[in-house]
Amino acid sequence: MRFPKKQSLLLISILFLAAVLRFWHFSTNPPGLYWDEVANGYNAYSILKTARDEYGNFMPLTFRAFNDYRPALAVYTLIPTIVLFGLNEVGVRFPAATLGVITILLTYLLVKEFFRDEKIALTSSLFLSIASWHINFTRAQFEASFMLFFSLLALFLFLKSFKNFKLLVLSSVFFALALNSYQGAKVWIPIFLAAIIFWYRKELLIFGTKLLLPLAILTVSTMPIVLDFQNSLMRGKSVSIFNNNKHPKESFFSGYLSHYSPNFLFISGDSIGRHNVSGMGQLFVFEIPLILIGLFVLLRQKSRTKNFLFTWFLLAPLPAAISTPAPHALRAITFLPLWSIIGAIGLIKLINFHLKPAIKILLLFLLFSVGFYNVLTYLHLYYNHYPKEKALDWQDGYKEMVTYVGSVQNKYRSISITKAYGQPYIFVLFYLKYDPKKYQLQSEDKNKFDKFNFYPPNIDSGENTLIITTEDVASTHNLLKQFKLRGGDVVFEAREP
Amino acid sequence: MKYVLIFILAIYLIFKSTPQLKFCNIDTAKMAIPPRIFFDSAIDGRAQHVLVTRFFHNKVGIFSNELGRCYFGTIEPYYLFNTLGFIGFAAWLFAMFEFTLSKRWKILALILLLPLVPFIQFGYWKIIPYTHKVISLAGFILFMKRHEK
Repeated sequence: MRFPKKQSLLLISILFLAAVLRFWHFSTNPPGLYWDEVANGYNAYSILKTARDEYGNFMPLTFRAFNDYRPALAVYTLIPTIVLFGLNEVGVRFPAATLGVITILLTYLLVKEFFRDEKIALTSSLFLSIASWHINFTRAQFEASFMLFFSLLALFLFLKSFKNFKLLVLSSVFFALALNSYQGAKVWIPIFLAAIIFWYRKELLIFGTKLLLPLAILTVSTMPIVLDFQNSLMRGKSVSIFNNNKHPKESFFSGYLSHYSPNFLFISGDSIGRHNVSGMGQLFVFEIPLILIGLFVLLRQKSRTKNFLFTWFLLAPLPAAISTPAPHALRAITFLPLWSIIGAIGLIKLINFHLKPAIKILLLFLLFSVGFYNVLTYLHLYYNHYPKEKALDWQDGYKEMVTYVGSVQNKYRSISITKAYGQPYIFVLFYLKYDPKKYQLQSEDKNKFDKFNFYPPNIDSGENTLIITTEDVASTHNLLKQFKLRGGDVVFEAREP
Repeated sequence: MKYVLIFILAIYLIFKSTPQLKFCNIDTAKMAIPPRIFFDSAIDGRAQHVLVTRFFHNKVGIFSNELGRCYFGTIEPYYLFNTLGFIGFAAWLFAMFEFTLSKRWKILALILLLPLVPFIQFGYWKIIPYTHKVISLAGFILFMKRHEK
C-alpha cells in the first residue's frame, strides 16, 4: 500500500502524538498498578518461570486469578515485555499502550476502506489519538483494549479479504484472539460477527465451502470457554442484570440508553474512578456539534457502509447494558472508534459547508479554540488531578508498602497485612517477585503463604511480628512507618506490637 | 386508520406519567461553583501559578458544566424513554431527524432553547415533558405522512 507523502507525514505525526499521550509517564500515571494488572503480571511471570499459573495449572487457557477465570490472551501478551522490562509497571502496561497506538493506525486504514476518503481517515485517527476514552484504557493494562485492537484488526482484514481468501482466514484468527482477550468479548464478538456477516453476506457466500476453515477456527477459539463453561460464566453471572434482579427489563433499557446519555458522554463520564477523570465526559464538548452533524450525514447516506456502521452504533452498548453498573465506559469500549469516525465526518462536512468564508473561519476558529481548551483541560486533569484524586482506586501505596516489607521481612517471624484495600497477597507476590514455584505449592489459601498473613481472618500480633494496617490513631502498637497516597492521605501503617 | 393510530398515541402520551426531573436551575448551578473551585484549587496546590489554576478552574467553566448537566438532563435518552414510551421515543427521534432534514431551523431552535426557560426560572418544569410529547406526536404524524406517499 503506497501512501502519498503529505498524508504519510500527517499520519506519522498523529501516531507520534498517540504514542506520546499513551507512553508519557505511563508507569507512574495511573498511580499504582491495580489488582487486575498485578494478577495478570504475576501470572505471566509465573508462566515465564514455570509454564504454570499461580495455581500450578500448566499453560492454562483461562486464568483463575481471583476466581474470575479470565481469558488468557492479555496474560500471555505480557510475557515478552516482562522479559524485556521486568516484572514492573512498564512490563505490565507496555503491550496495552503499544496496541493502543496501533489501533490509531487501524482506525485510519479502516476508515479509508469504508469511505475512500483520506481526510475523514486522518481526522478519525486524530480524534481517536486524543480521545480520553481511549487514552484512559490504553495507559494501563485493561483487557478490553486488547479486544478492541484484535477486533478492529480482524475487521480490517475481513474487508480486504473479498478477493483474497487467505486474509479471511487471518481475520478469523484475530477474531478468535479477540474472543479470548476479555470477559466482555464473549458477548461482543458474536454480536459483532453477526452484524458483519449480515451486511457482507454476499461477499462471504462467494467463498462457498471454503468458509468451513474460518468457521472451524472460530469454533476452536470457543474451546477455552466451552471446556470450562461453568467457570467461564462466573464473572458474567456476578455482574449480570439477570442475577437477583426483580426488574431486569428496566435495568436493560436504563443501562442501554445510559450509554447515549449526553451527561455520560460530555459532562460527567463514567463514575468508576479508574475509568475517567472527574469533571469531564467520555468525549470532548467540542465534539458535540461534529457528532450531531456526522450522525445526520451518516443517516442520510444510502450505502452498506452506513448500514453497517449504524448497526455497530446500535449494538455497541449491549455488553454493558446486560451488566451492572451502567453506564460502563470499559465494557462500552466497543463504541470506539465510532465516535471518532462520526465526529470526523461531521468536521469534514462542516468544512465543506457552503457558508460565507468569514463565518466559516469564525466557526472553525471557535471550534478549534474550544477543542484546544478541552484537550488542554483533560491533560491538566489527567496529569495533575487524576493521580491524587484516584490514587485509592488504583491501589496506590501497595508498591511502597510491599517494598518496605521486603526490606525488613528477615527481621520478623510473621507479617500480617490488612485486606482493607483488597487482594494484598497478589501485591506481595508481584512486588517481591516471589518464586512462583514455591507459591504454587501453597496457592489455595489466600489468607496466608510463607510468613505472610492477610487479615481478616489471620492476624499474628505475637512477638517478633510486623503488622501492616490502615491508618489507626487509636492503635497502641508501635508505629514504624506510614505510607501515603499521592494526595497525602495515609493508606498503610507499619506497626510492631 | 392513520387518524386512529395518531389519536391512540396522543391519548397514550397525554396520560403517560412523566418521571420527575432532577431539581436544577441557575441557583443550583451557582451554588456548585465555590466548593468545586476550592476542591480543584486545593488539588492544584500553591506550587502552581494562580493564572494556570484560574485558566483550568474558573466560574465560567464550572457554571457551563452545571448548565450542561441541567440541560442534558432534559434530553436524557432514558428520561425520554420513560416519558414517551418506546414508540413515542422513536417518533421523537424521527421528528428531530425530519426537522433537520427539512431545515426547520426555527422549530429546532425553539426545541433546543426551551430547556433553558425553567433553568432561568421563567417557567414551570412540566413544560419540558409536555414539549417532548408534542414533538413525539409531530414525529409520528410526519412518519405517517411520509409513508402515505
